[in-house]
Amino acid sequence: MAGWKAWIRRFKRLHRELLSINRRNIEYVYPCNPRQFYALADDKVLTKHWLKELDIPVADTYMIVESFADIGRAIQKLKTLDNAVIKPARGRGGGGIMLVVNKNDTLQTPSGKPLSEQLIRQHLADIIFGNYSFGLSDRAIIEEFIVPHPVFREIFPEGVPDIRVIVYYGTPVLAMVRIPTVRSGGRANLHQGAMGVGLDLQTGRMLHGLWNGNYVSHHPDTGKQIEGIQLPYWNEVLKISRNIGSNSPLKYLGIDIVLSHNKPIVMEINVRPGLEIQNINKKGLRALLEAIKPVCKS
Amino acid sequence: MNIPHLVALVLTTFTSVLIALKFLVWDYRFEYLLPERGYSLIVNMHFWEGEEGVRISTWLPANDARQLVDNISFENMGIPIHVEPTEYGTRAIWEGMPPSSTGKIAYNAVLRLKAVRYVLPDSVPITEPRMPTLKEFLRETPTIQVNHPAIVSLHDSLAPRTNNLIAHVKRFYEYVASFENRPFKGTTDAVTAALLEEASCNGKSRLLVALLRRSKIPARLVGGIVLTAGRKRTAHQWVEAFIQGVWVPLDPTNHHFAYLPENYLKLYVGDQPLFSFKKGMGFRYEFEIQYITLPNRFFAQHLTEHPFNAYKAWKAFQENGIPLSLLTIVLMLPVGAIVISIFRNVVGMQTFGTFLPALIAAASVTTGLTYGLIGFLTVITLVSILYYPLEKWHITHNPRMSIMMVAVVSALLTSGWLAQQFDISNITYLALFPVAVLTITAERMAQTIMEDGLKKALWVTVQTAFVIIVVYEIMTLTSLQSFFLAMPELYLVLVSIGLVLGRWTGIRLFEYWRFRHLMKNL
Repeated sequence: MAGWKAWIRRFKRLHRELLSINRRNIEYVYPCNPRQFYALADDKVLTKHWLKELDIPVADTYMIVESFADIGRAIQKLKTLDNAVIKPARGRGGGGIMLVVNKNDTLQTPSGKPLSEQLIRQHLADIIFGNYSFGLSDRAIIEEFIVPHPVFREIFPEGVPDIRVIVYYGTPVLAMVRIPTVRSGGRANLHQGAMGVGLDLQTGRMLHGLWNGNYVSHHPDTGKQIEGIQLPYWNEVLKISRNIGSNSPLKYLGIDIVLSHNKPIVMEINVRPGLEIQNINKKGLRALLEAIKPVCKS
Repeated sequence: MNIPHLVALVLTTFTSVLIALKFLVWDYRFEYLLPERGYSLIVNMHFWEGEEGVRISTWLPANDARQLVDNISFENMGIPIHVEPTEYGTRAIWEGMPPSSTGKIAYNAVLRLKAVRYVLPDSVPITEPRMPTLKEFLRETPTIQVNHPAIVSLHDSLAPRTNNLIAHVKRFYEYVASFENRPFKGTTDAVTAALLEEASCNGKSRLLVALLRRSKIPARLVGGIVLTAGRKRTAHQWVEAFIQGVWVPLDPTNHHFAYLPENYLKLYVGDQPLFSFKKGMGFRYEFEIQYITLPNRFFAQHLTEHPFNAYKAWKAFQENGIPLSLLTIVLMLPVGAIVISIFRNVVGMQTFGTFLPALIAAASVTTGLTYGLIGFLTVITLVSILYYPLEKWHITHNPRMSIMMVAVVSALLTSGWLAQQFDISNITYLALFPVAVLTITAERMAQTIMEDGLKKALWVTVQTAFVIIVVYEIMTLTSLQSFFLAMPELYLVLVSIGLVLGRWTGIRLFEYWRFRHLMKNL
């Protein structure tokens, strides 16, 4: 038990270094991210289009399903592919994502459960109706199914882990990896029980994980070590992050990147990146952001 | 200093100046704004063996110079009620076939009372009353035996040898007041009280009336209730003597001479029971008394003469039949909203919806907080269960919401039906709940359960319920309501708070917990 003086020191330090929700919104999100450019991050069709222009790798788009008239063609398209992901353009928190694998001309889930044509039609209709985007009508994207790099398969065989880099005025500030667990049901979502792993921003080496309120050095389900594991293509990841950050009208961003077997691929851009990354890295964002540039002026 | 803070400062200064003007120049007075104490009296009348119909009668509180009935409501169980003003008081009679032979009728009166003291002259001659109606108050009755030898000899031994009415009244009052109080059940007549030299309130009062009448001073019994918080079954009787054209109260039981305390509720005059009922049926009564705060009654009168208050706006609303109570609660909604913002942005609590807690609190004003909370929780839980089949069958968003809204309305209708079945009239007010808001909340709750788990959803529910309770208590503060009605410029202070809150970059209280790992490891 630390003495009260130590606690006061920590308390003061927390005040200097922690980026609180109020401060993130008032000093970073509102002034740095003009609202008219939100669509660039919120609509994945636009995001991908824009990133392609910057020559940043994104998942190959097979088809964009704009209306019900396209659903029939979408089914035909799926039958010609080995595998694909269906996702809503404006979905949030990983909702509405469907993985489709084509095995001997029958469509199924990666775990082998058959997917009837009717079910896929229904899912596409749900997306277009806006069931995954708060009642707004939406578009469905059918894109490349990315198989994560073997380094992740080793740690936990299911799901697709992703890297989150916080970028401020083109400078990467803090990064983490989200690794699925049994509890998260294979999803890389911290709310649902995925493990957050802090990263050494310079080297791309994994530090420690935060899972279920405890710092851990191994994956909770497989027991595989994570501490000290080197992420591949780390320089690419940093380069991509800087590239997006410096070319974007949005200046405070969370960039989600997936590592495939041969390159990093940008999946998503977030204009209101979460704050849990501070707990995971044991570092406060406020001090780091202020070292880069004093607060944006609105 | 940035612009929002500057605006906040200007608004607050402006408000302060206006309030200062009101109190210093326009003669606003603090005492007109502060709420008054009042009473809620519930009279429960239980009956049984009413197979051949029931007939119950009692006296209802009526307005007079010292008591004001703010509101009175009835629970009649479908039995026809007949209310008639009489010379003895306002009589209510329930008569008819009840839906079941056992049951309960009740009335609830909201009362404001005032203490009153009569200043008597030193000397008033006893004269034969000229008004023929007063003759009744000199007469002998079977229980007030004015001419009984025991009364006559007692009277003659006590009565002062003077024609001064005041001396007679004082002498008899003091004599009867000196008796030991005994909790006798039933009726004690004047003679019994005189012989025993001890009695309960009705015996002592009858003896005092008999002695006064013997001296040719018109006197009568008065019946009512002494209001003290809690449940009780005791009513009270005291005496009034007619002195120089005024009925002056005398209570020999509790020793009040020419004085009636604030908590005395007068119901009727004359020697009669408070309740009467048909022979053969069972009957039992009980009083439930609560202290409550009520808006100051001088508030409306005085304020309308002064500039800048919401009372004038209310006059316009009133013409369209909007009651003040509704206006008040609507006016308090922004206060509730600011309190919620503080809970969310400063404490860091999560609630279902931003304004939902304020709306539920406002709706709970009519139902009572307990029923409001239970109603709210039950409805959203039941309706959120409906979300799962709808989600499973891929019912798209808009139709799904309309189906859930049907469920919300059905739940509210059911609550009305239940209220009638179990005789809990409060629940019927649940129908006033904002239906759309409940629907959206139910959907949010279901989504939270699906995305973040049941534990998280329960936690947010607990926080929402807590915020509803606090917001309810603040929105129903009578003094705060009066301040906003009298000084609507206080809204500018709310705007200022909003502006400061909206620019506040501090750490939310809950974030200290959330980032405890970070704090330990920095």
